[in-house]
Amino acid sequence: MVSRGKLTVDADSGRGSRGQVHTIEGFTAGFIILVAALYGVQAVAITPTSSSTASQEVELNQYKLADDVISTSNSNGELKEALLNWSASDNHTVEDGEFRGSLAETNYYGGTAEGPFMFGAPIPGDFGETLNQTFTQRGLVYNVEIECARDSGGSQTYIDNGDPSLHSVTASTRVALHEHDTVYDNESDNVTLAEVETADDTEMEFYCDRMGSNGDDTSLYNVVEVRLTIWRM
Amino acid sequence: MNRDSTKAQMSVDFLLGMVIFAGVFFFIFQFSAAAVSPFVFTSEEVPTKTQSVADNLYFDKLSDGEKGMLNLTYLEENNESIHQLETDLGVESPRHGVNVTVSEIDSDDPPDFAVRDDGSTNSPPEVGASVSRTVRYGQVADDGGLTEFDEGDKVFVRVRVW
Repeated sequence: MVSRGKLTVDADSGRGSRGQVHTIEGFTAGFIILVAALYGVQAVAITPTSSSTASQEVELNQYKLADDVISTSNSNGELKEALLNWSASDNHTVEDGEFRGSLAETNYYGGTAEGPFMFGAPIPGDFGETLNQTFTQRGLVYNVEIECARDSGGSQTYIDNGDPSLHSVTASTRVALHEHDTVYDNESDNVTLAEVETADDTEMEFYCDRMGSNGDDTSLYNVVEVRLTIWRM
Repeated sequence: MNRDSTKAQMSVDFLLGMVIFAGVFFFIFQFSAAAVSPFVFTSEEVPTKTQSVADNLYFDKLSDGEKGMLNLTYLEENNESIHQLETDLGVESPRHGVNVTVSEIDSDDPPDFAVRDDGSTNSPPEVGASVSRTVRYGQVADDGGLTEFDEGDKVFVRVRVW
């Protein structure tokens, strides 16, 4: 009996020790599974919407090209010429002026089927020709947006080819406009931004107002930010 | 009692041993990977090198002051030596190779100008080599004596690195 009783006590004690070890083993196994799952999730991170190294390289190349185009066009004056290719007169199909030769019933260029500048057709001027030769002929689509300085006119679309894709890239530059820079009136004659600014609002309009006031001791009219967004069709 | 306790002790020893073994294995795995990584090609290395070379060429060697306006004198001076170009642009030959071409934007094929190695075209990359390319755009402000271009030409500068 004594012997049997001792055995019984020993057996209970043994089960207790094994239980502790099993608990530790359980925690360890759970930890290993958790680490393995975490490692697996980290290792396989490619989903249909995740960007790969290759697509990042493509986007970087597109950004560099867009930045080169907008910066070079700013340096050689093409961009400013494009910004000032504006008909300030109200006597057109669109009130408050429009970019010359823009889409019907809009004041900008674009790719809608109704307008004269469907996608692939060149935008007027040297800047438009540059965009056509660098982007359109390479299968890239672009939008150009102009942002006036704060509290002086908001934004103006220059080219609208629709909504950019998720992988679009945007480059920007700033252009200084001066009071003596000229746009066009309804007779296609040159008229300075200063004259547009002082004209009656019902006669001529420019998409940006003058920064500050006319009494300022500067000929600076506005500093606009031009944003070029490109993406692949 | 002693026999069961011994069994339990052995299980704990085993777990401890496994943890130590796994830890050492993990450390070696991590250390060895980090130790050799500077000396192996990665998928990002060539594209990064391409951007570095192109930026160096575009903003330093060919810059005429204003962004995007190009002075081609450097290319004219190094027309016959791809090795000088590699040295100037930080291309470690023969680990990497570089190819630079310039063409007007409305005449892509063949390129109007290519830096040549001793009068011949550069050695092409080996079959299966990782090749990366980028295109920069600019306007010629100074043709530097290159007869292929005139001032005012708009050009693509294509840089290929492998």
